[in-house]
Amino acid sequence: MQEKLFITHRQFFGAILACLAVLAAGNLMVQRLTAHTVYRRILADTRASSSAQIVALGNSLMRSSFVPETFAPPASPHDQSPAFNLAMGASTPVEQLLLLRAGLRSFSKPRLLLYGFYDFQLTDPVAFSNTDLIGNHDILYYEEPDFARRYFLMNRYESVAFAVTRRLPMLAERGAVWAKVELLRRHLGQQGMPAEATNQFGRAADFTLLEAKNREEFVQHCAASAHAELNAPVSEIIREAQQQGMFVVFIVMPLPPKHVQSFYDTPVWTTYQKHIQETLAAQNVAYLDASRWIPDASKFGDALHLTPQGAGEFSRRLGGLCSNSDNLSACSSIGK
Amino acid sequence: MKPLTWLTQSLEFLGGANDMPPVAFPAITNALFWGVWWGVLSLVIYMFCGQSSKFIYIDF
Repeated sequence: MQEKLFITHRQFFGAILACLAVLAAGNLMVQRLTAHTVYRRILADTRASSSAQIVALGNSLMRSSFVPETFAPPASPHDQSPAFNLAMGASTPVEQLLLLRAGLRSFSKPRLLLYGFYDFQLTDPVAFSNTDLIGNHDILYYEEPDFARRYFLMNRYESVAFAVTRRLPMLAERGAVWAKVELLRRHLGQQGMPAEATNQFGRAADFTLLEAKNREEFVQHCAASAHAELNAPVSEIIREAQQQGMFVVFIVMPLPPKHVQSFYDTPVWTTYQKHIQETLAAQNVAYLDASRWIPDASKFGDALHLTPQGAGEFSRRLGGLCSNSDNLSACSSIGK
Repeated sequence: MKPLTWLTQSLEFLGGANDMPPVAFPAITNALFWGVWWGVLSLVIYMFCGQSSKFIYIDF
């Protein structure tokens, strides 16, 4: 056996060292190439918008729908809008809580928080495995990771993987690298094929996967959540915003007529929403149902997100109700 | 040996699928080369191992 080896131990360990050096260089390169990922750009914008008074928070529905300049036009062309879009695509309430905390450290006079949600975002517990944390979830590795860890469920084994992964950019940012490869794969797969509809977040057809499979499944989910409390990160979002003196409004985001007819035009959704309204009211949080504001299906780019035209319409209407932070009585569905 | 067979066996040796190189494969005893080569292969694997991830949001 010994005579088959054609390198010495010294050479072997030299090779291992050289291999590790290449991986370390790769790690450094990934760190540099991902220095401007989505959440980092949002946080950089936050630091440059310290005068913002109205903050929009949520996932991609709010990100794509809320146009600050349309919601509250700036006083003069050289000024910034008093509104700021702090929402981030592919985020759960935990990432949104981290963004809010970062925002509250930057904004000098925040007065109003507009939190957009859909379906069961407020009550479903947030649980991750370490492999789920790709893309915009990477904020969990970097922005107050020990604090964030209190607000999502993860088993012990995954927690160890989380602790290791967050220390190595090549692992923590793997989703950014894989996304580039996936884009290349899709580009090659599109050769000679009919063009697929895409929008700012990805393939339009993929977003159907984020909806319930059918009405029965949705009804069961509604029934199971009928008496559920707000999940921990959502409760913390409310607590921290109110602690800063902000008025908080929760908005059911506009959804396509198909989603509304299939899922929201059901008695169990009405019951669940009544429960949500009461829960929010008990915490002095206003509730605004905008799910039916855009009845024209052509103003949606996919199963969930508004087109820029639809976003303009939503922002204008929301601005008419909520942009005057001195009079927010109109910014609520309660009592209407 | 046919050139295509030799090339296949060479690539299998370089990729670690075979322990022994084909006949007439140049002997590479430089440890630095093998270290860098395996580092590069690891990076390539790293880049392409995310295929099973379900990318709904792609515009990160």
